[in-house]
Amino acid sequence: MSGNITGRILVFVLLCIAVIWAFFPILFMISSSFKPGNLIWSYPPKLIAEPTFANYQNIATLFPRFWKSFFNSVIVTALTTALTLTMAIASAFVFSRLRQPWLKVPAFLMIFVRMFPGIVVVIPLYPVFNELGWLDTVTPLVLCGAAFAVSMATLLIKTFVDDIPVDLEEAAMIDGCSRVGAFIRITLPLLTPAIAAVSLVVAIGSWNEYLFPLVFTSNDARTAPVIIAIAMSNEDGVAWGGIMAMATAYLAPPLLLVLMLHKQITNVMTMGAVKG
Amino acid sequence: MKRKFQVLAVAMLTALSSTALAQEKKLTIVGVNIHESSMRGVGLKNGVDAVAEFEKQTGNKVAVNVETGPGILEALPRLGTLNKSAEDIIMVSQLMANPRIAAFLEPLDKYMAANAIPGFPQDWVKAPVDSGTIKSQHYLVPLRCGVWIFWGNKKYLSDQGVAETPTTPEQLYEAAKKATFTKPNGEKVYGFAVRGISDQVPSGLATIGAMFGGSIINEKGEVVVNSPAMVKAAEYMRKLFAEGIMPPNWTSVDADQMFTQGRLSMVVSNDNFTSRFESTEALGPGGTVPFHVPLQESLRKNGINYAGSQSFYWGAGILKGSQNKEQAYALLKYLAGPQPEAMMMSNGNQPCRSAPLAKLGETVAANKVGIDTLAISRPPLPGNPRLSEASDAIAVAVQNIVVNGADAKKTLDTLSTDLKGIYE
Amino acid sequence: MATNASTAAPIPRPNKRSRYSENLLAATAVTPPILLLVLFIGIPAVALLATAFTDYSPGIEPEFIGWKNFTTLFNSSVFYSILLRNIGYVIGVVSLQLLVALGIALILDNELPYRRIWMALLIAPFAISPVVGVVIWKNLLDPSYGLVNYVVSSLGLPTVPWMSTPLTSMIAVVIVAVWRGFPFIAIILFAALRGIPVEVKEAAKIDGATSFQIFWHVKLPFIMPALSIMALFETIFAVREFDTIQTMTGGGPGTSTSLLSHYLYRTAFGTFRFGMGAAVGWVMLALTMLMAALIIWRAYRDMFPKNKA
Repeated sequence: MSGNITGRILVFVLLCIAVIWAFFPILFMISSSFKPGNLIWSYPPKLIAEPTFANYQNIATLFPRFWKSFFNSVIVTALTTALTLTMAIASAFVFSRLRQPWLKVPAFLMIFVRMFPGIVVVIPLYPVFNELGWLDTVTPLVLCGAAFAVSMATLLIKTFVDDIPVDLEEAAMIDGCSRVGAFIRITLPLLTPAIAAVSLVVAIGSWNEYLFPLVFTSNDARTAPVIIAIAMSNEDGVAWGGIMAMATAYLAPPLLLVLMLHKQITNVMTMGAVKG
Repeated sequence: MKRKFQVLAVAMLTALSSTALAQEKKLTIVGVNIHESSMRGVGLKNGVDAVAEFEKQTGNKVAVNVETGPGILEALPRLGTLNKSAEDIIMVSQLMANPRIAAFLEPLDKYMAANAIPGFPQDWVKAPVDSGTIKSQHYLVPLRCGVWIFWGNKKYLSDQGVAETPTTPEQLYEAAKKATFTKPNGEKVYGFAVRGISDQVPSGLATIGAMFGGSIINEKGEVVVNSPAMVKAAEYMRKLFAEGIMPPNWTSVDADQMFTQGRLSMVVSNDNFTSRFESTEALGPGGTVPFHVPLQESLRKNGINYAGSQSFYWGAGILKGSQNKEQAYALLKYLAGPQPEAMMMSNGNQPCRSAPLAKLGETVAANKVGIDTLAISRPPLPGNPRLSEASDAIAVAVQNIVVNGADAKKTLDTLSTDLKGIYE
Repeated sequence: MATNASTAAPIPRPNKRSRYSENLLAATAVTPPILLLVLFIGIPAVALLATAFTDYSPGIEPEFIGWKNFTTLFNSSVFYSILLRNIGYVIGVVSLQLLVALGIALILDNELPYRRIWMALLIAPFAISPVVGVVIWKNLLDPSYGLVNYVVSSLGLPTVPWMSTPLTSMIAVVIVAVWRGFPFIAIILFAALRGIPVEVKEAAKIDGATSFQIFWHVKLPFIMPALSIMALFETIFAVREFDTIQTMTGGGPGTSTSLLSHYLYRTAFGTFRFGMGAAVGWVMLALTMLMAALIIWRAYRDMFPKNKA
């Protein structure tokens, strides 16, 4: 890699500024989770103060619902992401490769319907879910989550499919592949960076969803953000140590996901050659 | 491939929702975390389960669903309008108790006629029982009560030369000014704050107003928010804010938390916060000095030299859509009994029956102040179907006066017109 | 030049039989998401928005009142200031987010040692529970005890009264909104940048193009479709920004940091005026459409390029 030294230093300095701004508040949260509760907001602000694991040990007794809700979050996120991505890949393929005139209608719906804010759907849906017996289960969380995520996922994946020349698929079809078969075998592998990036976005969006679990669940299917929010609204005083510990634990899976998917997202370099 | 995924997803979903459906029948109470901790002892060091005995006697399981503070406000109309709800009992606070609850809750009188709650309502504190009574029907059994009083940080006040707790607004101003200081490490300590976050502002205004003999709506139900006393109260708050005696981010900061962190010398807060404020992580045992709401000298009569403030409470009601109303009432009656009441008290709950409250007052200083104050206090706003609208308008007006420097008289005149539209 | 989205030629028109199977294929693929969108968003949203023409409030029989909610709304000066603030907020936040994200995506696109770690650190704000993120920022920005002012005053500079006046409250909200929003765009733009074929970049370099020229003539056109979709969704998200306002400022002091969604929440849930809240919902919808009209049109057109068969 060539490039002048000043340019590279400039890039590095900008990177450091960005990282401080993006990560410092989180670092503060993580370090707070190891402080005794009364030292978290101490003055002058300190990054490290009497480190202890007590906050983590206390989660189970102070917030007995947390680990269950953490597990619920994992299930909801996994199902929502799987459902959304399956639908999005299939639709992106159709929107990109087929030219049926009537496809304009679903395309319009995809963009338009997504404009409604989540807050306007929860009130009418609540009694319906009550009748269906879906309240306090993960079902409405997954279905609503996927409904709100699928438009963006489809549009994004479509822009990536568009960039992959169709000739390869056609060649495979001449070799006797079905159209779907050709797409799955030839194009899908080339889409890994897009799919990885979009999965990451959908998964994290679902991981942080607050409104739907707040309204549609009450106990068994509650997810972690709601439990953390409840712990923060305690009239009798907020247990900051425990909250910082919960929030830190809650941050771990998405960070791991980023580390894991990084390779998929950056893998295109070698694939670029195929395009020639 | 894609189909397989879809089939798999649907199968998983069905499996998950059917397991939820197969659960056993139980009674469900909807509340916030203080209700779970007082009823079940959850999250407390030596918490006791006050509901276990009921479960054993009746064989009914009890679940407490916990909502956030704003969440429960929104849960009442949502659950109250269902024909069939999985939830049975809901906790209703003074912020939610308005005549509209009659549409969401079951009237309790017919259950009481058949199976009375001993001592209800005559042994209970009057104000909360009254606001849960609509068209002479009882809808709520109050289970957690309190009142706003003044709290001082004992050390700060004596260090800054405030020997006596203030008893007049002028003394409060002087004391607060003295007790605004900066610690050697650069940490700022503010002299005084009354809660400034939107939903708390009406109570705050009413408390400061009471020091000058004013109120938002008087006992006759007339809107008097633009009376000279209230204008004086609003200007008083602005003066404290402008002079840096109240914290600059007053409208978004949790005053109680600042007080526990030792960043406020005086605060207006709940009378049941002794254990919170005097915990070893906060100000420590004996670290606070609770005192009465100051009152202007000229307004004193009948030997009472303090003002009333805002009473607050949580009452339990039965949801219209409950499928187990009889058992739900049995649980209500149980919770209102002396045994669970005592257990809930040991979990930090402050009951609504006069006798145990008086007993608390004998040992805890803040409760003594609380009982005096409660006797002459009212909820900040009387019940009205548009209560929350009124509360919101007051919050906006007061924040505009105090922080944004709007003209007090003019703003309160406009507010008064708005409130008259709601109340008269 | 770049391989642009619209140059991906569609497969030549097939014969009748395969056209039937194509219709079937398209229908199978598109039906599930459309069904979800219509059932879980479209119908309930329309049902609720219809209440804008009533005085619906839970526990009270609703009555049809025509345009009254809208006339009340458009006669209130508070509403106008909120509407204007919302427009300014959307423009400010979306452009800041896109700029920051684009910058970060470009930085990450360089050969960096430990890029995986840098990326995880940069993307973390997106992965944090919004409520917790806001609480930390609120404390960092506290005018008297926050780290930001502490550092500023240690350097001998004048401190900022964060969260104490309408202006500083709004700036704090924007800082946090950009902080929470940019990683999402950065991930997508980064993935799009990685999709640019190496030869294209190499060819430009051999032609003697400067870094800026490569960015402007090669990279930017290539990531434009992704950028415009991100702009569309960020506009949608920004118009409805709620969490940050609610947890940072509660719309205060007064209503000086309130935005439409917060106003909607306050009217519908805070004060039980669902009819009025629905009217605000209509305004939000109209505003989204207006602000995103250009991008919507672009996104829609991109789905059906002109050179279709």
